[in-house]
Amino acid sequence: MERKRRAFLLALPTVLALLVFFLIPMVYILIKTLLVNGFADFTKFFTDPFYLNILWTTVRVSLISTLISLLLGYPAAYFIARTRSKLKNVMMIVILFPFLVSAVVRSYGWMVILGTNGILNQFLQGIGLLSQPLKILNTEAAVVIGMIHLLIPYMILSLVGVLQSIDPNVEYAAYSLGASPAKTFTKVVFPLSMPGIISGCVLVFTMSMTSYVTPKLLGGSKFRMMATMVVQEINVNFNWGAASAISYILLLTILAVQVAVVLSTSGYMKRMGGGKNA
Amino acid sequence: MATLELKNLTKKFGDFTAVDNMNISVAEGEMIALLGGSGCGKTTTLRMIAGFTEPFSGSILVSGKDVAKIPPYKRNIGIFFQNYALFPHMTVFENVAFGLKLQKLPKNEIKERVESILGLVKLTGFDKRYPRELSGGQQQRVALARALVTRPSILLLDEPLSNLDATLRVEMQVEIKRIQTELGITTIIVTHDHEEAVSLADRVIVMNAGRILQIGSPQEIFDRPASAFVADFMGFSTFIHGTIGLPENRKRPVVCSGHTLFVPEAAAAGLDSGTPCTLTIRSENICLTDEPGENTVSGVVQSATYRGHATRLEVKGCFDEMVYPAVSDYTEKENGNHVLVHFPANRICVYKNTMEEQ
Repeated sequence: MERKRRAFLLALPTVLALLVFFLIPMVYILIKTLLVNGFADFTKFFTDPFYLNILWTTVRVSLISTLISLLLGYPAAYFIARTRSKLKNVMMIVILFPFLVSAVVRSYGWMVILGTNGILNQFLQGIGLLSQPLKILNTEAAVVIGMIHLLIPYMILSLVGVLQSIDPNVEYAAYSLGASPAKTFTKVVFPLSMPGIISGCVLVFTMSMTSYVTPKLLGGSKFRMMATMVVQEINVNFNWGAASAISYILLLTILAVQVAVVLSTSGYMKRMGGGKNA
Repeated sequence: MATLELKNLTKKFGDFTAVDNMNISVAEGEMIALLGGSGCGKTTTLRMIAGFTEPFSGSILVSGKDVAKIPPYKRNIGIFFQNYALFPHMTVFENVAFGLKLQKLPKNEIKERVESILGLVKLTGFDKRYPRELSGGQQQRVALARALVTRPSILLLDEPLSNLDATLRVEMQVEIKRIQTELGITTIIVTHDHEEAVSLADRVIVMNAGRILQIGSPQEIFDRPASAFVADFMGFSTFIHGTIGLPENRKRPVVCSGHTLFVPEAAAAGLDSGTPCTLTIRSENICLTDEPGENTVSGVVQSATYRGHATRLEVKGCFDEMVYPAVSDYTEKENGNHVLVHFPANRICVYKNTMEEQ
């Protein structure tokens, strides 16, 4: 009991900071919005296809970015987790390297590459693969590319942690019992890496859902996601009620997805070692 | 059932030679122990047989067929890992059934075979448990069942008893031997514990620095180590340096620090008179006596450690080197007591000194 109380004291500063600077303002905004306009801003959002489309775009871009990050990140993470090379730490630093450059700078970098007269188009036209420049910048594809670049380190870090904790002998045991490398992956490594997959996906999905800079700079003026729409409502439309309604709907969507993921995998996670009778 | 043959097997990691030109041939149903300290190449040899790592040169023959081109998942070699390596996300049943399911056997046959092997390792009724819900000994038996259930042609055991407490060790030792004999599987056991090796194996191979030092029956290795190094590894602790003389009465004298010990002529075959050599004898074979005589030297007890079944003495003054008799009867000898120590001639092993031992 004594220990628990002391542990709580250690967590207290963080709890207080979150309470004062996050939870109270959130509640304040909600009350203020509801007092001024009632549920009108919320009803408008769910009845106007314009807004619903933005929500769908946000979810779609986030899902695609998460999925591709997982597909690209998994092999890299597996390699880093299993390599005995002296360069292992260097590889980890390279993975973390993008964090040194802000999202704004990186988005401008992608503009240089993806633009109509950008490096990519010049290259593809130069080797004769294209006659007309490809329109990538200011499309959803550009946003997804930028997003993956931004978020894949989080995916890889989550996966490396879990993959490293899988005993290599477990894989050898599977081989010795007649499992091909493919079977060993699907029956042993993949299920055992599930905790890392879940945390990586939730992290990337959440950060993608709330991203502002990447869709703003790479998606062009007509491309809207939830976070860019909040800013537009405030700065362009001066509609604070709509802005707070959108931010609340974004929050609840993310929360719903997270709860759904936790519920659907809790049984599995418990079996994997969360049990108390170990 | 299969035979196993290693021919000129060599493994290198960069400049380091982990396994150096190994030659072994294992008969059908035989149990062989690879014995050696850490880094002696025993585990690397095991991993090459399993196919987890490729040899630098040489070949591995299973029932006369070279397995170099066969991937590990097609070798049908059962392996037991030191840390068990059970699948943590599967129940005991799923763990054991893993290999059988991959063979696409009918469900009822899988169930039958899993149940019978769990009976063999005395784990009936544990099939729905997860590995983390089992004790170390139970996990170990699951690992053994999982390696055996697919009826592998060769079974590899990596330090099978090292993680267990003393009581469980003896129990599992008997269990492993019983199951192995019952199924008649050709078995290689890797261990650093000489007691484990001599109690389990039909033949023991002592290794050091990637080379084989001695191959022999447990008794041979235990009583007649091929070199002072093997003797040291097999638990001999008394080593005495001396110079050997000419044979007299089928015995040869060895002058050690002014005293003369006689050794059987056969034990010193091939040693020229005047050769510096090392004598060794097991502590249990050294005895205390009341009467002076041949191979009996006086000394002073320096310390006595009571070990339940024996008292281990450190005796100084017999030779330049300390001697360590283990007395089975309770003795009241204390520090400073003068004792007569007898070294039975037929228990002494003689080795020509080599560079590394000097």
